[in-house]
Amino acid sequence: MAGLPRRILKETQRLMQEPVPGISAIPDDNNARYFHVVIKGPSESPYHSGLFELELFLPEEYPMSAPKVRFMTKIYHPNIDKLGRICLDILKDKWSPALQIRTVLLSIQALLSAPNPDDPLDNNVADLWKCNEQQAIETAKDWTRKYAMAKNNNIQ
Amino acid sequence: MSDEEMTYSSRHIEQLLQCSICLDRFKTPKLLPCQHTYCQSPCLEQLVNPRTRMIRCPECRADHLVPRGGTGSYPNNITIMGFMDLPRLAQGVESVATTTHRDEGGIMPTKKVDKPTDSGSSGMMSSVCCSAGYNDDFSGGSSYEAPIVVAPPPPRTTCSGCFRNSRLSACNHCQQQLCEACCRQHMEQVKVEIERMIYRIKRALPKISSAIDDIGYKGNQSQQKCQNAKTEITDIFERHLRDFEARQRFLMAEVDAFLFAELENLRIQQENLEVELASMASFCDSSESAIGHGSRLTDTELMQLHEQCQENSDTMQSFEGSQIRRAGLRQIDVKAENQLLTDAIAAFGEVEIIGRPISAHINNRTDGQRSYESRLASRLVDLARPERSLYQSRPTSRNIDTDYALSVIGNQSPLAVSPASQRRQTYLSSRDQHLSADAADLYDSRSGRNTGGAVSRVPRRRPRREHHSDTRIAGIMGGDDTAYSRYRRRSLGGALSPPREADDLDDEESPLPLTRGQTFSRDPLQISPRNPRRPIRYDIAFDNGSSTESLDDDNSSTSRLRPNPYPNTNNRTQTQTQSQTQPQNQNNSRSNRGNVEPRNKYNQKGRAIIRFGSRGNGQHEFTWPRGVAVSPIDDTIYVADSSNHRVQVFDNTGRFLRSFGSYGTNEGEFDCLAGITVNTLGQVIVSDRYNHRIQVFDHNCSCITSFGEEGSAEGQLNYPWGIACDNMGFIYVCDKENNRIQVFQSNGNFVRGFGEMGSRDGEFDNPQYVAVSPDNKIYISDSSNHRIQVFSMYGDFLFSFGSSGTQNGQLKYPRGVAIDSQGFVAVSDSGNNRVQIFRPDGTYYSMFGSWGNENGQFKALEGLAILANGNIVVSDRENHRIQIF
Repeated sequence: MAGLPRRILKETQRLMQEPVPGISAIPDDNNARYFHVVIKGPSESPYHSGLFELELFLPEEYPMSAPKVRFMTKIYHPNIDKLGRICLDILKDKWSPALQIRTVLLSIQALLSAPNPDDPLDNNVADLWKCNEQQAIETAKDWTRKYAMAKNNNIQ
Repeated sequence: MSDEEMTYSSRHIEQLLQCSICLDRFKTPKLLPCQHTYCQSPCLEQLVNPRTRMIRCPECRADHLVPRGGTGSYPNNITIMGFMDLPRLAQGVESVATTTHRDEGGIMPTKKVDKPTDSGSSGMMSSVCCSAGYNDDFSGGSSYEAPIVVAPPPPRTTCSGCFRNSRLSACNHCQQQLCEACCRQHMEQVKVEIERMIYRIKRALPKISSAIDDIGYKGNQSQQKCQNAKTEITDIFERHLRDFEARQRFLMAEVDAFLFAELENLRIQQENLEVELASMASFCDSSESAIGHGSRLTDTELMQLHEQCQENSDTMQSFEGSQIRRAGLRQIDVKAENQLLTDAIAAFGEVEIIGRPISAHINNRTDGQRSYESRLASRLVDLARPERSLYQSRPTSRNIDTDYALSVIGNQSPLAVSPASQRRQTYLSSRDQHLSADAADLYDSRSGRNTGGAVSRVPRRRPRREHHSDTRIAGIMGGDDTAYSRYRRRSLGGALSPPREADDLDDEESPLPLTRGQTFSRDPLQISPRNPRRPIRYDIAFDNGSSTESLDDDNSSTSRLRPNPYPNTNNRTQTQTQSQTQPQNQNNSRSNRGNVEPRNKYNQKGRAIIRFGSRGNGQHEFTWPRGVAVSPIDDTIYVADSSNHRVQVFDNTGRFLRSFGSYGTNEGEFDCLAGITVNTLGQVIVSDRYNHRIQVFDHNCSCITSFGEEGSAEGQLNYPWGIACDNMGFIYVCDKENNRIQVFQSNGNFVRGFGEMGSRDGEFDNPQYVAVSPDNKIYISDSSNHRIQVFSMYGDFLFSFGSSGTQNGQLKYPRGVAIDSQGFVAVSDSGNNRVQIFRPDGTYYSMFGSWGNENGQFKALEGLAILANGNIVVSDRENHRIQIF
């Protein structure tokens, strides 16, 4: 790796200096392209008060290609599969070099607020979300309690 | 600007100078066709898709073909470069600023979902997978900055000419910031432009000078024409003066003849008396001498003498008592109808100006005013646009080109009315009138003219608008005490002989001292007697309606005699005529006094000038037309074609323009609509009778709003009928079956209602039509009470007029009401099949119409409306037609 691009440095610097509320992104000590991310579940969503761990990796081509992001914490969400992969357009074909780590994480946070069962990644979850939203939300809350609150102490 | 603001703006500039890909200061900023700017290398280079040779803009995702020369062929963003040339201020601070306050930039999402928020915690992001926005903000809302895409453009700090020099000064001409060199250049350009404009102006100058020449020419022409006119006037007046003088000589001669005859008569009488005297004296002498020598006389002779003495003595006794006194009765009266002559002279002649007036006018005048003023003003030359004249159809583009003729009309035969002059509108300025009046005074001292004695008042029906048109000769006859120079002469009395003209000598007590004509005039005289000192009165109606005067003897600026129904009078009918005309005149003048005459000639209406419509549902066909309305905007006529459930629109000559509406209950549909009105915005408001609602249409005939429903609560309607709007847009609805009036705002909000069933003041029995006067009084045809009630706009009862009957001023089931700009009220008196016109105070003015289906006849009248030109549009329901009067 021929040194870190200036852009990544700048982004990292700013993320540290002005963290986005409800989001923390800390570069790995060994790899400046690897970030440990924690997103707070948005209020007024089933994920409220849960803390979701993610990993974010900036590939070599960044910013010409999208960062790789994955949920580490289990989450019940129609657009997030069992492995934590996220269905989000800006992480795929709609990526633009004008986007940044910060904006990507904000988009993921927003995705938690507004699940989109019409464009699912996990069909089981999406089906339940569509035919019985109430139960799906309950399940999501349940999962949040079960998986997203246990490691409370790790992040704050 | 304070320092803080300065740093703020420079920070903004720094943000704008940051490439959103490398987040660094631009290096060779290149402008994409979508107007977004990036560094050429490496940012743009990396963006190129090597397979398709395309670049997708990171900000807006627009695809651009990379030019042949590569990304370097994209134009440099000169503005950005100019900014980058600025000296960076406060380097140390700035570096922090650029790092801490740098905006990430971002993508404009394909769907517009991003919106700035204070906190990222609120769910505001785009929907998943199909689009994603970004939220760009800072922690704790410490300082929010707008994304680049919406950031306001910074103030210009380089020269807008060369983008380099930073020593700027504002250009006075176009407010641009320019450096000195560019400013000089710029000023040169301005000079060139000025020169070009001057050249253009110079080239246009001949237009004005030719116009001036034209005006001069017109002026000469006008002078010439006026000179001719003056000559003509002089000729006419000299001729009349000659006539007048001849008449004077004639009358003088008559007086002389009278004097001669009288003297001759007296001389004969004197001679007779002298003979008588002599014979009596000689008789006395001879008798005395005979008695002195009494002895010679026989008894018989004595008795004879005694008898003679007795006889002579009786003769002498009877002679003195009667003959001398009666002879003294002979008198001479000079009678001249000065007033009539004065009037005639004042009204004599006419200066008629034919042609398009050359003047600028305010457009919104009535025809009468317009032509009146334009005639006066046509002596002026004006460059302004000409006004459309009713009296001339010749179209002219520029009124400099227009010509006008001046003709003087002085009738040779004063009593003949030329048909042409009936059509003419004649106007004299009041100054002219005064002039003629003065002239008339001058001529008053002369006694008359030889037009065959005298013509008494000429009570002839004068044609409309003809008040100055022809010469009016007033006779020198008729009046007695009104005569200026009345004098009497007693004939020289004292003749002994019995008067030969005793028959002609009337007693002083004669009720009609009309001796002169019978005595001296060879011509048959027409005499119009008047009671002494009774004022002669004329009702004057100026055609322009601007003023009205009723004339007394001492007030003589006549213009137009009111049509007099009484034909020319002669001696036999004089008394009768007098008794009829005087009250008539007095009545007229009384009702006239203090009242404005309508400028619409209501009293001359009666024959429809336009009629159209028959039963049917095509164009120009109606099935029971009810309300009519006239648009105040363009004078179009809206007819509520009730049983065709539509509105038909015509222009003011009756040409079909369009129709709208059909049967139904939806918006824009009607069920037997009745009332219709047009407000000052041109919106058409229709009372949709069987749907119990009001609908408002815009000028494109599409329904804007509808309001009202069946019921009797406020804002509810029960068979709404007539409808009207005041000039503030309030809508007045005759809520017929609820026997009340409701007032709505133009958007349909209920304002107030007034009235209830009854026949007292302020109560209604089938109020059917409503109209609003120019002074915002509400006139309501209270149909089954056979009256019109008038309210203030707040619903306070003011007065009412009309009662059941067929007389003038009485009504039977009045329906449509319309009010002209002067406040005259036209009422369709449906039960009497006529239209009545009332003055604003409710007094009767005139009427026209009768039952039938001919011109000017009606069968069941409904609404009416008044056009801008004063014509009355009448809905003739059972004839299924519209008539315009």
